[in-house]
Amino acid sequence: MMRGPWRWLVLVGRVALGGVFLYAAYTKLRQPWMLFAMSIDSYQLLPTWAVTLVARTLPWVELALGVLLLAGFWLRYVAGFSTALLGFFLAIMIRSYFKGLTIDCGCFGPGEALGARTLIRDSLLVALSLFLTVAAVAARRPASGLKTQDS
Amino acid sequence: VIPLVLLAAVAVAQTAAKPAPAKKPAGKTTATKPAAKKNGGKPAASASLELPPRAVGSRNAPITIEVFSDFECPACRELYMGVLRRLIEEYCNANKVYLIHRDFPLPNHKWARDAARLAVASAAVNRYEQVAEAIFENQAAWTASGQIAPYVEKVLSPAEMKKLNEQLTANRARIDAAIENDIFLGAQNQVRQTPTMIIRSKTQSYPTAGVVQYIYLKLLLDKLLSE
Repeated sequence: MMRGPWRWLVLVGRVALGGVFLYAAYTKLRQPWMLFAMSIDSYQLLPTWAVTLVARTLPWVELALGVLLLAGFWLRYVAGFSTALLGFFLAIMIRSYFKGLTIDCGCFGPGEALGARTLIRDSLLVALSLFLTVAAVAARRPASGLKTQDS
Repeated sequence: VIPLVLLAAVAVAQTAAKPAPAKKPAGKTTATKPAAKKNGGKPAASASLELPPRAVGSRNAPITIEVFSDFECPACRELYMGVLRRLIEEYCNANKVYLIHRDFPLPNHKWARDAARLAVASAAVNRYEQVAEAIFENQAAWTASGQIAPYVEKVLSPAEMKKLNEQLTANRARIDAAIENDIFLGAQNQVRQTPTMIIRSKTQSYPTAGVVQYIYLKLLLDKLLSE
């Protein structure tokens, strides 16, 4: 069980990360999916069928993550999944950046170039998500020391 | 928290169903600004607008695509050779898309502006597409040597080449103003890299940066045309 400032920090973190996911989903869902497909395709990682699949489903995954983070349901799993997802995004962004690809980031809709700024922003998001995961796991761990004292 | 979350989800779902609001087509309203500065604030239609537009297709086409590119940029070459040529064939020639070329020579590209000058001048002899294609096709060669004109000569008749050279000499200021104007329009449209395409249909505007696969562009255009 989290107490004091940690509880508030986790709450703020959840709302911030959840808001980011909701905004990311919103920017993609308001545009035709082909635009997001163009961004994904520019990373030169996936075959056409997979690009199409990801372009059509990822915004809904981001929407679900945003809602679940804001609601605080299954925080350990949701935060863990979001850390893995954001970590994967960061890894492919770093790879593309150092390969010198002049491409669209695709993070928040089309028209945003991949650059140092986007890498820093995504690193911060990974850090925030990791913090939430660690906090959620720590909160669920039985406090064995306290039990001994109580008994 | 739960009601708030539900409200947010509903709001997002509703917005997702609506089309994106259009960005103001800055190009049409501010096209003369850079030249106006040089002219001390006088109406500057003079410089850039007297040159023929570097565009393909019908002005009345339901979709307009502006492409900001740099002749020395390899990704721009890839876009031109792999995507724009097919786009011209299948959509511009069928009057479905009006394609506007905008020059956006990057400062770190030594010969990009010279190439842009040649291309702009070629529009004055109505041979822009052929010249642009020749410049892109031989990009690797002239980037190494700095000699662009020999590749342009190959696609023009001697008379056309003579006219083009006359344009380059007599209209140098206008040609430079046209390029500056395109750069200004790029800045207005928040172009940060080349190539960037801005696809406009009705009131909607969609920017795409980098090289895109023709298949997705085609799907997008067909969707926009069917609306």
